[in-house]
Amino acid sequence: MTTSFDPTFPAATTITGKWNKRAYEVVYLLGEGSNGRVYLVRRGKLLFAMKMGFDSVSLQSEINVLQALRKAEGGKDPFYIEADDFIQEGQNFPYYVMEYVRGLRAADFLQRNGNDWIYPIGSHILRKLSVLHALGWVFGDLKNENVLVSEFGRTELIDYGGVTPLGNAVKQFTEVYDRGYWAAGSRTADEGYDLFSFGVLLLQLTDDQDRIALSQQMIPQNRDVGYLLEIVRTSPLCGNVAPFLEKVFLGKYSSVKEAEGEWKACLFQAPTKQTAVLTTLPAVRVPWLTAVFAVSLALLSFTLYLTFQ
Amino acid sequence: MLKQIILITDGCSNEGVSPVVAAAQAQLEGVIVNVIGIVNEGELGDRGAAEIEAIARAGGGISRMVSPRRLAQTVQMMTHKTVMHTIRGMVNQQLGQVLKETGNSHSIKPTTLEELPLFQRAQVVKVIENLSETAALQIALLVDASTSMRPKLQAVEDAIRDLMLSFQARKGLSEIAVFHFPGSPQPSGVIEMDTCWTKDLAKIANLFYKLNMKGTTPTGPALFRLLQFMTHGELNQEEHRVAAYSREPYDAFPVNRKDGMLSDYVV
Repeated sequence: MTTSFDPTFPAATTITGKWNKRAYEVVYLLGEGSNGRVYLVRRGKLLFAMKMGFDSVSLQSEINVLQALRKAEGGKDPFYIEADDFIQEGQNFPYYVMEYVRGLRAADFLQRNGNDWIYPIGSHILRKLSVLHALGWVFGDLKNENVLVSEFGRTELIDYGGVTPLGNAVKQFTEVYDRGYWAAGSRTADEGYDLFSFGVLLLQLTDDQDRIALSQQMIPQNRDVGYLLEIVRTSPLCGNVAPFLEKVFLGKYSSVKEAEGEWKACLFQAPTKQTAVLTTLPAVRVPWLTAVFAVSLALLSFTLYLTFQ
Repeated sequence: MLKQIILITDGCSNEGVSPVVAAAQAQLEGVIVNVIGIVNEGELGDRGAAEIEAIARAGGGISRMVSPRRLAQTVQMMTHKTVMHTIRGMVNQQLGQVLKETGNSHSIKPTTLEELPLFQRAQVVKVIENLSETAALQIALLVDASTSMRPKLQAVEDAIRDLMLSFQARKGLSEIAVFHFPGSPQPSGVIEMDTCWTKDLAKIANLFYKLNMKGTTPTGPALFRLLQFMTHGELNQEEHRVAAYSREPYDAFPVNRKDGMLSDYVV
């Protein structure tokens, strides 16, 4: 199998499409994923992101998904712009152009802006997933690196290389987010698969002991749902979404729509004052205060339970 | 039926025919050979690295050097890439054929996927993806079980089980067979079958349960024997029977074992 040489295009390279003839100028390389490189490019005064694929089949398969998504969303707020080929010295470089989102990876965003943002970010992701599912696809490779968050928690899923038709084998995944890795089910693309990754992502983003990453040093026999549930129970930041996460890991939601509903319900139960305290707490680090807070939180949830049951 | 061999080794071959020759022969017979060099920091050296690359090149496959921890991921990636690549080759060939027949004789050159207009490319890729999901697939894992590989065999087994999990999610027929080499010296075997074509590894408690203590690495002969099995359906008859029946005495009479092999078990 031959791998063709994949050059990195330097700044100021002009990339003109073979079919649509539109010209873009490379500003700089934004990053590199498993399927290709993403550049910041300029057309006139407008900035875009351009993905050059390492492989034309997998790039085209991403384009197919993005085009279908754009069609489904009725053209408003288009993320995907166009696809074309760039020819240089006889070599063909397929690419597509998308909106440039000036954002941060989910983990960095939370670190900078506080963990409370997990609620809108989670809602955004769930909404994106349910649109995909309605079109008959599963996202597959949901992970921190593929979630880009910009102002007000506006969230885009990037890298559609793992998107798989419902019922097929998941095309691309990352170990710790994979349901099979946790011996919690198959690698068949179904709605539960994405939800599971979503659950792991939430733990990954909120667990201060980094136990998701640590699982890679464990032997496979010890990786199971029990381990995840233990994190849910002991991670202080899971708080009011703990019941949601438990149901996710136990596969109790039949669709993302259903999960989305309960996710929102969790949020509206959120004791707003306390969460505000919670996010500033780690800086103070007074152990007894944490304990007292835990007790008060427990009391509060008990009261809420009594009120609403 | 797509057929692949994944050779997992940590060093140079040192016995018999060259593995590069064996791999070239495999490709000739429609079996793709991928190679994984499984190494901890700094092992293997230049000669081993060069051999691994040469085997994969001759076998039409990919080679990678990875640490035991990244093995499962690498096996997945290789399998996926190879399937896509094979199917794409087939589709490209068909495409050339179709476009020739429809009489575009004055078109500049035979069309490949990359030269198709964007809309048509989108359609062809859908076909390729569909075929890669549904095509029947057999993967034989050939594991170097020489002494230096022993500490890594658990990682190998985990990776094989992980691959099985992905296979079970595929729509097309997907089977795995596992072999290791060198095989037991009695009856003399170059490779030993650990499991014949299967869709389910769950029932097998321990994949590599009997290992030869010989220190040699006959990678070439092992590849040749496996190729014979994959293209003609069987191993050496006797060997096959031993592989199938020797499990019981091993479990029941561990005393009979000397140095990890069955000393008095005769078929």
